[in-house]
Amino acid sequence: MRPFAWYALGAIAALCISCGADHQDLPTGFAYDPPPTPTNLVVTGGEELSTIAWSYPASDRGSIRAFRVYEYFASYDMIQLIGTTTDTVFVDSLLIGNLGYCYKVSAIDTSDFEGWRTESVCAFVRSAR
Amino acid sequence: MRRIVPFLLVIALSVLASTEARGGENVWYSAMVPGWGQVRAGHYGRGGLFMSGELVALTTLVIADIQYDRAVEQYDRAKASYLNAAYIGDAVYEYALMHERWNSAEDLNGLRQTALYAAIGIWAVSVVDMIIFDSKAEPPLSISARRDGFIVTGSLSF
Repeated sequence: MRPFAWYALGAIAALCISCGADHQDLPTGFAYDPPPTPTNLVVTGGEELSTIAWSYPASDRGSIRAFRVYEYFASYDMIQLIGTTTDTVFVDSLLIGNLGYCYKVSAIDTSDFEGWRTESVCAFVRSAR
Repeated sequence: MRRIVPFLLVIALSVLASTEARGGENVWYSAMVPGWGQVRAGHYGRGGLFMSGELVALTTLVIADIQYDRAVEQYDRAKASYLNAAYIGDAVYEYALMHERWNSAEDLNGLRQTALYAAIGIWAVSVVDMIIFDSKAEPPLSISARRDGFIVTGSLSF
């Protein structure tokens, strides 16, 4: 009889020890400091191309590595990276005419961390013929 | 949590001392399954209460433990995604998710600790109850464990 009771006691003691918390190391504070978001995004539709231009504070240019330009598909709420540039102008060419194209732009810092993307801006692209 | 272990040892030693002094076999039944000794002694209401209480506490403990492990796993995943985020939008999303999962794990940890304390408490009260109130009177109905099964014994008193 007694070994069974000790077994029961051991089981409860094992439960005690196994009930230690495993979630103690919650990171405190938000660790990221993103680069500022580009402003004044303007998209100009041309003949089978779009010209995308934006502004960025000169004081922050030193802390960023490049800009990322995305095409935004509003119907699906999806984005696709179409290019990276260090300039504040980007030309998206070889487009199909008579369609609207939307874009978003973001800045990436020297550690390749990407800041907030701009709101999408759209333009109508004309056909060459 | 580890403070409980000496407490359990004290209870176990008191059970040993008590049964050696008084020879109360029912105490050992209560030590194995809370309420069993009470049932053998004929205190069905009390025995049933201990058994059902222990069952509820242990079931809650097992369910809370499984859910806690799941919450910790989700927390670890959210934390890894947050720490490896390459876009501020992902970092903000994962940071919020990480906190949510951590809070969830914290709540579940509290629940399982409460259930564990309840299970241990019921077990200890059941054993102590049997040590103090174990009557030598023949119970009207008793269940005993045998090597090949259980034996149910009924008796009538006049």
